Amino acid sequence: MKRVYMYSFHERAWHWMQAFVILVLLYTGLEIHLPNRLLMCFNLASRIHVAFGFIFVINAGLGLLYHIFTNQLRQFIPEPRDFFSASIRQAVFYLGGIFRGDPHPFEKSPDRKLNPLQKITYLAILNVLLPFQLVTGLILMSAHFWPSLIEYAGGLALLATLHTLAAWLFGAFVIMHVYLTTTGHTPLSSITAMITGWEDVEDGHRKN
Amino acid sequence: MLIKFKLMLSLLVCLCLVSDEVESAIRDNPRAKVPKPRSHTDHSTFFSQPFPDGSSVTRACLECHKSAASDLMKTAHWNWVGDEAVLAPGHDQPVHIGKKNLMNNYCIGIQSNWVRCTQCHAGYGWEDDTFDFSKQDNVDCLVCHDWTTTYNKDPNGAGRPDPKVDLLAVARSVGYPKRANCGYCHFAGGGGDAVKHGDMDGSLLNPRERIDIHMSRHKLECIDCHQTKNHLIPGRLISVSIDAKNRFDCTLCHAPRPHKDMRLNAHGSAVACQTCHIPRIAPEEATKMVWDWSQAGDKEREKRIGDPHQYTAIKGEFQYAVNIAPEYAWFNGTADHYLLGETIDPEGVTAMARPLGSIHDATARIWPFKVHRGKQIYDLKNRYFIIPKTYGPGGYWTEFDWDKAARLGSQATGLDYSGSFGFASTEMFWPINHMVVTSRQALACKDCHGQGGRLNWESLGYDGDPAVRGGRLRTGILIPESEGGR
Amino acid sequence: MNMRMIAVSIATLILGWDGLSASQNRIHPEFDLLDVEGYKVIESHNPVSTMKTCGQCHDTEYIDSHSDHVRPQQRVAYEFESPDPGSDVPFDADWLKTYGRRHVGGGPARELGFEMNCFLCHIETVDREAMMGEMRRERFEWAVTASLGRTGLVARVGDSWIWKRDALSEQGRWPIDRIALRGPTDENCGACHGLVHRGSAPLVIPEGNPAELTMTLRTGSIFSGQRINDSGISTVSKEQTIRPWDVHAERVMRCSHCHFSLNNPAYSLEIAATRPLHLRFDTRRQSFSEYLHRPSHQFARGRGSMDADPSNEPVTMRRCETCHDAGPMHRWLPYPELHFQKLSCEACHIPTSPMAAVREIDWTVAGADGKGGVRYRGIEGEWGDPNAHVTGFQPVFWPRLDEDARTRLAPFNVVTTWFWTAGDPPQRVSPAIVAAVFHDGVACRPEALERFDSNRDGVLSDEELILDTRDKRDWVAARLTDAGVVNPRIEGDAQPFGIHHGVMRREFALCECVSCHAGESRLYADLEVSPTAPFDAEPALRRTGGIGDAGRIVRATDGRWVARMNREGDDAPEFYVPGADRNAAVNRIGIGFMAVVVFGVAVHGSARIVTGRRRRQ
Repeated sequence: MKRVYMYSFHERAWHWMQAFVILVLLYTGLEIHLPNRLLMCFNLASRIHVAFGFIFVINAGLGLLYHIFTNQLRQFIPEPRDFFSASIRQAVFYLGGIFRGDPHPFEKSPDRKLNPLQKITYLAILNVLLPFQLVTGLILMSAHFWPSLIEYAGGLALLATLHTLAAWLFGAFVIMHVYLTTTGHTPLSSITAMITGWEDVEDGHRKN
Repeated sequence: MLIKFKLMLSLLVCLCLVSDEVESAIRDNPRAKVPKPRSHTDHSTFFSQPFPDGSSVTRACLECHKSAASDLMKTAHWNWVGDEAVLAPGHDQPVHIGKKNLMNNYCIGIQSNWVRCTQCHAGYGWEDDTFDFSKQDNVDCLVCHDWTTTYNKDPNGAGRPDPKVDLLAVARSVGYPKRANCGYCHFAGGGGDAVKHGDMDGSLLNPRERIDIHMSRHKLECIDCHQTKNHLIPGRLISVSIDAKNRFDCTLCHAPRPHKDMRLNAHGSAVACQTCHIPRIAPEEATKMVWDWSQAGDKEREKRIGDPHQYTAIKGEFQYAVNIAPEYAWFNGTADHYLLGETIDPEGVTAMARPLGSIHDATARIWPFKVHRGKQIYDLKNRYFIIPKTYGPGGYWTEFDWDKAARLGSQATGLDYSGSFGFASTEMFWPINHMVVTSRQALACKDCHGQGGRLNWESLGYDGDPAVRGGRLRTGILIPESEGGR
Repeated sequence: MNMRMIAVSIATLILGWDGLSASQNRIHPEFDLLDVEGYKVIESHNPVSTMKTCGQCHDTEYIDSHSDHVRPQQRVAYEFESPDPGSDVPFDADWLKTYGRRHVGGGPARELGFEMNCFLCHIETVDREAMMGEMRRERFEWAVTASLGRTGLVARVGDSWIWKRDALSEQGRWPIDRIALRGPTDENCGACHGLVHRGSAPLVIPEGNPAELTMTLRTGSIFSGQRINDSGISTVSKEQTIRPWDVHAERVMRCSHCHFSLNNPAYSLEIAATRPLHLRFDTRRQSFSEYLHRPSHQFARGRGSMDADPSNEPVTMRRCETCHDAGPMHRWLPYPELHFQKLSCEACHIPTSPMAAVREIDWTVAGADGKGGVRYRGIEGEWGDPNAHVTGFQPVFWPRLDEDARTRLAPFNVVTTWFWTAGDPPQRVSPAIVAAVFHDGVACRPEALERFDSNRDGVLSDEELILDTRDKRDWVAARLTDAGVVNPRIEGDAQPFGIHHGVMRREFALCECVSCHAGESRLYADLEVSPTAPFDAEPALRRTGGIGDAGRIVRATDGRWVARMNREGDDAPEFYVPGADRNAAVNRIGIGFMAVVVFGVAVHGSARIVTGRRRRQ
């Protein structure tokens, strides 16, 4: 067991910022989807949704730049070598080893924060879901200035429906993500790390 | 660095989003200008002995409120004359004018009729021109401060209280002036409720919203607008003054351009608030519109008609009206008032009081007026109006002798009376300021503009409806530089 | 900037014209009243001829030849007076005797002697009763003269009319200083077209034939600047309803300001379709004198609600945008362009009608007057009864192909006419035959009373005269068959009427987001078409006035017929209103996915807790 400085200040700030923005977007999006049933009024919700949408875009862009320039992008890229077996090993751990108190199959380190399963998930979220949501959201927003753009993009009904579907998936991801943070060394160690930057990780393991 | 930038950015976006909400929340707030509810001290334990007369109450008041009488004595409520001399049109020397020495076309003038007229004087015993204006005992505190509403001044007592009034009870009740106190005189001017002003009467004691929004929904007292300091009550009407000093208007509390509609705000340079927001005069109680003194004296006719609102032998013929549209004229705050001794044209109509200003006057705006018209006695040879003695021994109301009344009245005013008299037409303009209604009942475009509108554009100086011809700025009637505040 | 320039130019011209109309009385000269031979009526004692009289200066042949008002408008005629407004009723003396009240004369009527009645629209006090009286007596040539009955220029003596010399001017001409001739006022238009009102007297529904208030009956619109709370109509929460009946009327606009004469140089404006792209405003105008010589009596009009094929009718009307710049006033509105693209101005600025309107005209039955029953929406009580409680109604929103070829949601009222048809091809059964089923000409038939008089008071009221059961319908059908009608059956004709008058200004317009963006969206609200439809009868919607397939009349779950926007199927128009529209499948997928995740997390988490405890032990 050792303490590792896992997340830099920038990473942590970015993460919490994005977490907050996503939660607000989910809530206000739900409010727009089902008006008059939640706390906020439609008018305010739609304004906040648009504003936070912009913040989300900017934040995502800044995050991307950060990862590119700090050369951290590779963290997200799965290693092709024994990728499948590694993923299966990780899945098997979640389905079995974790109950027996087995050590994690992959050691978490500042250079390798993500296990193979996480890599796939993040790859999907960051490369598919997030850009998709960004694009549909931006097109919907663009109607403020170029209402015809929506028609080219397939119509309001289609875009709004897809945007909604993606929002549900995002919601599911958030739940899953929060739960999986408890599968670290101790239930709270990952969350603590994302707050303070320091994480207790198991030491003396084999490396793969 | 990056974080700070991001935080700033998001903050900025949020601010932009809420800014227009915030903007619309900052509104004209007239309520803020109204004084907080004032403190009131219960006086009921201060007095135990019955008071023999009004002056004894005044002395009791002055024991604590030492400067009250001397303050009041500086005001028009006591002197019935303005504190500054003003230069009247057609006169070389400035004159002090006021109720004391002016005439109107209702009961005409107080001189020689003091005992009756000074029922409404805030003092005791103004019976003739020898009244001592410096005697503090003569101040009547109760008429303005009574809260029992039982206080009453003897109609024949030169301002002294009715002997039936329980002065002790009244003295124990005193507080700041309420509507009923002001209304005791101001609602009843001209000889009865609603007779004189057209915009002030007993219906303001407990009005519906359709009568007056300030005194109904907002529960304002008179003195909430007429904010009084040291017994000096601001606000003055052209019936007793001709200069523009001490007039106050809606902008005391309201923003000068309070409408959301640009067109309405643009009206402000040519139209007074009152014009739209007081669409009717005398909405509930009928007010007197015509008083023809020349018909007086026929007791048979009085019996035959049997309605004191149409005819009385002592006063002549009347016409009343209820809930009617006012008349409109340009008004720049100054006025022309008929002064004693001014020569008249008996064939024409003499203005007892009329507003000054015209379409060419940038400071003038179109105001609503009650115009009271009448015929009253004048000196046939000298060609000026006479204040006749109507009340008391030798007065017209007792002897029905115009010649004698004119002679006695002229003795009091000091004007020469030639011995022959006639009756000439007069009109008197009363600016309408009270009984304000909200936009719900205010005039709308169609009420003045278009076919059948209530304004007579030609007589106001326009060559046609300004809604389609353009206002006085656009049509060059008014030179733009001379118009301020546009 | 260009819009402003146009606005200024238009304003200048309008101002010029208004100035003219204000002083028109001074401009219009005195003139001799001539008879059809051209002799002075004061000498010939003949009826006045407008063609000759007005023709002294104006080109009356031109005016008579081209105006829609001159042609008998059978097509738009009088659904309140006949179950069959659509067919080709011959224009003859009988037609004039029945409908002439609302006809300005001229055109085909001229052959009968009824010349175009200029006075109907150009003087203030028209005696239409006297005019109609002469027509009923088939003295058509006297109709125009009789309509001057209230001016004092003519007097009725016995059966005829004589000209009053002393009422004319000194030269024996029209006394222009006493009886003004001027452009049509709202009252002139309102006499035939709908309820208009001016002045401070409280507005009430006038007595007399309600059929003359077509605009008001069809759409609930009243053209008046009076505040609703100052009017004499008992609307709901009247004290709070401080808006005027129509903001344009309140702001001193007149009917003729929008429905202007097409060659009036002050107004003539090329419509977008024919205007060259480079030209916003053509300054070349006809001169006023040319205009006064040959004033077009064809007036600017929008797309009529009854126009079957929109492309056939010249649309000469301005749209709101011609005068209004919506941009600056809608800065508060998110996505303004999107909203403007989908919603007509009327949708937000006439979202409700404070006044009642007609819902159904039921010619399947007949009242004592031989006419069908008229049923209203938005009123509790009798039409015209000052005690009736007027609740108004919310129109249905349907996509409408507008004058500028945009399809946008607009408010509609739907008036359904029920009638019997017979034969093949089906023809509408004359109301006289239907009336004979219920009345023998003197009183109600006892067998009708027996079936319909449910409260047993011996009188058939409008509420009782409904064919709401199979028995009643079959009974009437049997009686009709007895009367020689072949295979009678009931049809319903649902006519949509676009609502364009009764505009509210922004304070009162629909501007709460959740009015539309909510589960109970105002945009998708139903309009009741017929709660009292005859048994087993279906209303068929007329697709006129630019309504596409999106407008539907469907049976609601409770069996009533309602007007509704079609939102399902391939032909449904593309409308997605966030907050109101939801894709149920996507929501089910999304919620299902969330549920699976939550369930998985719960199972996995509790298993970890359990196994973790066991390990520690």
